[in-house]
Amino acid sequence: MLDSRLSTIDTDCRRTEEPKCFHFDITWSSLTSHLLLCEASNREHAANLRSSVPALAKQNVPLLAQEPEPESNARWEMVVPKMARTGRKTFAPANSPPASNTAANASASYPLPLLARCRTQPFLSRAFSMIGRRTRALLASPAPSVVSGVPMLFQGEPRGPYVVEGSPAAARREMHGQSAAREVLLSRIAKAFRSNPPVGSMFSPNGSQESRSEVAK
Amino acid sequence: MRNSPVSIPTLTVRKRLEAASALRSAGSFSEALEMLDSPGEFRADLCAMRGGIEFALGRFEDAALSYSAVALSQPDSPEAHYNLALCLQRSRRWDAAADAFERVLRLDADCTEARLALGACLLEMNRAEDALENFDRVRASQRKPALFGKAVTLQILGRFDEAAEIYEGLLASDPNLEEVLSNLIAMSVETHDVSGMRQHSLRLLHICPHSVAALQGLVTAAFQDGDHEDAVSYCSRLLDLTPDSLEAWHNFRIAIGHFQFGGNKPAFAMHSGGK
Repeated sequence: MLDSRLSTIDTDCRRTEEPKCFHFDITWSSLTSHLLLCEASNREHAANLRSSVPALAKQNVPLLAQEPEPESNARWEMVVPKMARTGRKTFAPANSPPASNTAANASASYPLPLLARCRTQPFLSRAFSMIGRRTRALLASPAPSVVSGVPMLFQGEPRGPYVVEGSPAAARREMHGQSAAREVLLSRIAKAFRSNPPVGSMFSPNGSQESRSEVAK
Repeated sequence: MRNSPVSIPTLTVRKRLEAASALRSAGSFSEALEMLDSPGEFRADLCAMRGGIEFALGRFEDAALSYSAVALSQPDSPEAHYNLALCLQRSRRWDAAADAFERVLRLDADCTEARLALGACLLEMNRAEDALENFDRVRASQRKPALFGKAVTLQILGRFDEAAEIYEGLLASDPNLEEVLSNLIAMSVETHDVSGMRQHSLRLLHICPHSVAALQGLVTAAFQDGDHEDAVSYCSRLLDLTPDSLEAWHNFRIAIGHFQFGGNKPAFAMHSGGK
């Protein structure tokens, strides 16, 4: 490329021309190029997490199984599903004679877990989704009715399982409605937070406006 | 359950942070960001990690948004404001970055990094006097980078002798400071110091054989000395590095003409400029 251009330039060369000056920049990038993000807050958070992991592990299981608070509304009473009842053999067909096994009869009255949303709890959701799949399969067959008056367990909401009285479809609709409303509320809170600094922050009203406008640019 | 201090969301956030951290360590930045994606949910720790990943990806404006949320939720944390300021500085939003660095310094007056970065932002904003005052306030332990900033400021202010003295002192302690040498070349152009320009250019070319500033300085010095053979040689090397430089092609043509046919010493009006 250099040689091909050279011939063109050489034929056009005018010896009276003057060389052009280059542009020499004054630079100071080394002042800031080495700067890294301060991870102190992350480290602190990680340390907090590490210290809290055993506590979380210890407390999590009892939390799911603990008794409801005395002052809480009965509507929100929590019921823990028992894994043993989900075995296929414990459910007799509707037209079959009553089984003599009392455990099988009792299992029909246990609340059945119904998953509303599984995304937020990977560990529990796997277990509950397995239970849910099996339960739905059982419900599809002519199984004992569990529709009316049986509390349903919902998993996936941040506060954990809830029991909602009524039919599964109505309960599902209600929980979906609650979930959607909560998502909308949280998004509005987050949006409002971004646009309005908390009271007592070091951002002055003018300064925060400027910062936001700068960031928004 | 509802009033429990340890809730399931906390556990979920922890798991998400751990997973995102693992993905980030494995270099899967995009997947890590997806793991932290939570529309409608604000968590300072999630935002901080998301900002760090965005910063690593070079998405500085996104990182600034993430860290601004952290800074708003932790108004007394100098680290939060520092991270925000650094993202703004990398986004070339000098004014906002300078404000953020000033907030850091109000919370932690000994944060040398913030003071240096603030000085750099002030230089970008053509506030050289303020920058000079800022660099003078850097404590002794971080004197060397502050001295460099001061020398740059003095050079911009046209106080060349003071700037040269500081530059030489820095080179005495570390002869491989490329930016010092390139600034000295620019200052030699300003002061019409051809010998100094050649000396600094050769020194820089020795450290960094692909330095455009060094080759430009050597071309300029060669033209000033009427050494067209050197001018052709350095221009040719310069064109290898900057094939789109019109000045380089023009000067190469001039140098070739003088070298082949002889001629008078070409006049070279030297000048340099800031950023």
